[in-house]
Amino acid sequence: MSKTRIGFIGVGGIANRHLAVLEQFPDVELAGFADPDFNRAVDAASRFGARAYSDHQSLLDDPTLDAVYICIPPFAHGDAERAVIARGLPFFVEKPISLDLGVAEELALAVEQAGLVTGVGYHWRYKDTVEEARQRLAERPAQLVSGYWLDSTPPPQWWWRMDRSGGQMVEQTTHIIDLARYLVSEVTQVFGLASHLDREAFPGLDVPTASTASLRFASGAVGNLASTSLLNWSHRVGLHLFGDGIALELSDHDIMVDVGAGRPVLHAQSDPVFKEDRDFIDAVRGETNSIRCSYDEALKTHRVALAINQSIREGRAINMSGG
Amino acid sequence: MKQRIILVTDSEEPSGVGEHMLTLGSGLADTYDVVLAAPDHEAGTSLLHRAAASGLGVKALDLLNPRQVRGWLADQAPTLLHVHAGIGWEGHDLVRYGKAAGLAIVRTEHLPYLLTSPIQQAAYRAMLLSVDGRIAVSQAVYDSHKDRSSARLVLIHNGVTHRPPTVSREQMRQALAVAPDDRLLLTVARLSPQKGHAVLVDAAPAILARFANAKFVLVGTGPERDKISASISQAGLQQNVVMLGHRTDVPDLLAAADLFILPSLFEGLPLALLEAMASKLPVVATTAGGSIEAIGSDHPYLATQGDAASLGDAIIAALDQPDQAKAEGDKAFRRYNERFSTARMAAETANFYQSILHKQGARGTNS
Repeated sequence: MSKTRIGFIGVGGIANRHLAVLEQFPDVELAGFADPDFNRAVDAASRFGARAYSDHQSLLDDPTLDAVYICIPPFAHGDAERAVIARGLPFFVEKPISLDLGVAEELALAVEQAGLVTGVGYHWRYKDTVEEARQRLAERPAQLVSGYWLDSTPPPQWWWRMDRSGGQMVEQTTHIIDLARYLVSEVTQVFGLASHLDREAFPGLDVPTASTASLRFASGAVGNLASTSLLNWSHRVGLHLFGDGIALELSDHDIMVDVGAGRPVLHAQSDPVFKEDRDFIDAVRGETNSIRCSYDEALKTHRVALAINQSIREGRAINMSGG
Repeated sequence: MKQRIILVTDSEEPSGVGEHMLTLGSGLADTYDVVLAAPDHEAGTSLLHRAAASGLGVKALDLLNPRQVRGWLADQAPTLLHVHAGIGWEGHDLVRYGKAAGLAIVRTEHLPYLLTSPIQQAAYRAMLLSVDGRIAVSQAVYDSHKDRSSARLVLIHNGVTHRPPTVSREQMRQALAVAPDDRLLLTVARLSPQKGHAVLVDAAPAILARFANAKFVLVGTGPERDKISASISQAGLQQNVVMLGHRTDVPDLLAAADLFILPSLFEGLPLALLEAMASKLPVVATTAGGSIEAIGSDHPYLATQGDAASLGDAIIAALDQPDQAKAEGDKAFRRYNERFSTARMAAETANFYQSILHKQGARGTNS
């Protein structure tokens, strides 16, 4: 069995989430790791007998790579993807795909022209609870949607800065936006509001500490999103959907479906990242492409998140064109 | 895709062995997909970081978790595992794990056979049953190992890579406060009794009587430091003999020097002497076995071990005939190039790998 040789650009927290999965695949070899923090690259490489690099171009000079994982912070996207696309390599990239819509659109076009297999880390699509919701909603589509990301402030300081992370809607709640698109339909109109509370423990933090958005969907459904990073714990992360005689509550680990006969809860049974990575590797190996979120698909979600930020800035509703 | 080769050690402190693995790995990197594997302790991790920086693949081994090590090795098959042993009792488990995983096993012995306990000797013999080929890094190591096993043994001399200086001779001499017409005599050696610094200090007065501008520069650390320092003071040589301690800029010091001196009482195959030869610096050595192996028995500036008068004569002769000394430096460089270069070591090692892998392949198709 020939092994699919994977290179990593960026070896931070989320990369380790994928590594814990990929190292279980017998048909994958982790071949190289690039990180501006060379020590971090070496630490990852020495787990797998791989090579370490301090920049992505040196990694991409390895002619034996089959695909690349790009796990870099929101503000860093652009050059790495361009170089990977120029090499004609399939890639998996973590969300959010960029802070600059222009860059994301340029990359989406380049991916399409190169005909590359891509995957983006909107892993909620791979939850078995989301499968359950999809089946239930096929019969009774959602008319009202209510999404939440009510959580603590992530420790990395880049997250605190609007010009580094894009704020909570773009960095975290984007998962819920993607899920709403996946379970309901395209978003056609957004209106966002935000507020900011200065806190001593977070000097220089300039992202909204509370934000909300109203959404209109192509299907006729309406909804809202609520985000805050003011808590010292994870309070609620999920999406609630309501249709004709059905209420669904999806959290990151279970689903409750109420059709008027109690409130039965189903717990998630499988690791969505495992299925997500498996689908990507299968597609790279030329087997069936079952990837649930390609770069192009992720771009649609990202447009909604950025439109909410725009609405917050401009104080008006934004109509989404082309949806 | 290139054939993978794994260079591995389980040494507690892979200093010299680690240097050798880095040099060999870099030399082999054009031909093979080289992965350097070392224990995940501090010294091993530091070696892995250097290996990664030179572009080699790296693997940290948790030796307390044999299942994990065996699992990783099994994943690498078919390939060749090259185990580096600083001393006889090292690398036994790695040899066995590798063999069980179906890998071809080559073992390099870096020291002569020194095992005296019958239990260790028996364990060593048992381990050798899993080895497909052995490499000795010097004649002395070869001689002491050749009758220990029927497993193939070849002599592949240690190689060193010439590192060019990064500052000019004048800059370095200025930094050392050595005048342009001073004679700078450099010794790079661990400060241990084996290296014979005491003999050099004893020889110094006679040399200074002839060449008042001679400056002795001693590089290295070790247990004899205080003793050597005291003997320098006692002889009133502080103006002409300086101790620099550990230095990372040996190529710059070599470039600044007029003569390299290695006064050793005995030697394996001295890398510092090979580095001096690689830099074309004229050398004075003793007739210690490993030094002779490096510089050749026909070298004109050889002293008897432990004999200060003989050492003094050899140094005075070299300083007296700068043109001939320079010619000898060039000759030593050619000898280094032919016998002790990294490229030569890597090429001979690659040939040995191919013969082992070929044999394995032949065995594979027959079975």
